[in-house]
Amino acid sequence: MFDYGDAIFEVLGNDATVLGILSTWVEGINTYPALFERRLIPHERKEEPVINYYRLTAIDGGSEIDSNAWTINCRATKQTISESLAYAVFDALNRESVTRGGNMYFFVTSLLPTLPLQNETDLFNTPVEAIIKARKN
Amino acid sequence: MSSRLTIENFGDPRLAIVKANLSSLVGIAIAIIALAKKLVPVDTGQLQNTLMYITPTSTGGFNESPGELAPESEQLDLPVKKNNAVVGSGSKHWYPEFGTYRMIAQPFLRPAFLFFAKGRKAADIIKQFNQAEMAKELKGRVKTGFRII
Repeated sequence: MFDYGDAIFEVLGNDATVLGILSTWVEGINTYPALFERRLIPHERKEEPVINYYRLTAIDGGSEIDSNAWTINCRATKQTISESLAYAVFDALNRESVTRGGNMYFFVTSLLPTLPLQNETDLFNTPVEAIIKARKN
Repeated sequence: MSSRLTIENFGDPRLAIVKANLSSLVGIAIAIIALAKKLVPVDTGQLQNTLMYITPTSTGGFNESPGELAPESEQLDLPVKKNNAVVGSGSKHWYPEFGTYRMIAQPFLRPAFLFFAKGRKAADIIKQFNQAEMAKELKGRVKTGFRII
């Protein structure tokens, strides 16, 4: 089974430019980047800039090679920061490959325009879409 | 000595392909919209009712689902190029597609589109319509026989 979310975390969680823009959250003595593999940012987290990412397409079984689309939402109070974060994510992932758990992942990304705010409590969101091709090594 | 000359009226297979491609376009657009309508979060049903498709020959999906009807102003009115189709929503309440800071993302349009774009699903629809149209074309062929003496 391919773990696409883990592969995204591996790349973004180790990219200095992305980490330089992202906020962090603390649990006990550990500090984590504000990167959530969820369709909703956990309510208890107030930090921003923040990224949440999730799968868009179905996973097809029985294949040695699979391709999947993911959305990476780059959210911040300022549009410019949201865009900078999205550019950093785009650069970190685009045409990058990573090996995790014996599987190889290759990313091709697209950068979407920043979405308008829904209300005054919303954050600017610049989504990055990633097509991830996965292969058993 | 005599010989026989048979003239076969072939019709125009190119026309059959054009017809089949137009039908395929509608078929794919309907399939995407049908899946998007299943995936879209439904509260009053208005967002679901705004999901629609436009092809050069037909339009559909708008206010065709149960639930609250969408205002006419939210109907998509876009020019569509030859061999193109548009699927989407003219609603102002499209936020579930990407979610917001405090609203869960419930994508409906992109997964539906990608479901058919990925793999051979769209290609299968095109093949099916082309086979049907070519079968009709072959059935319509007329053989005319001449005997030359």
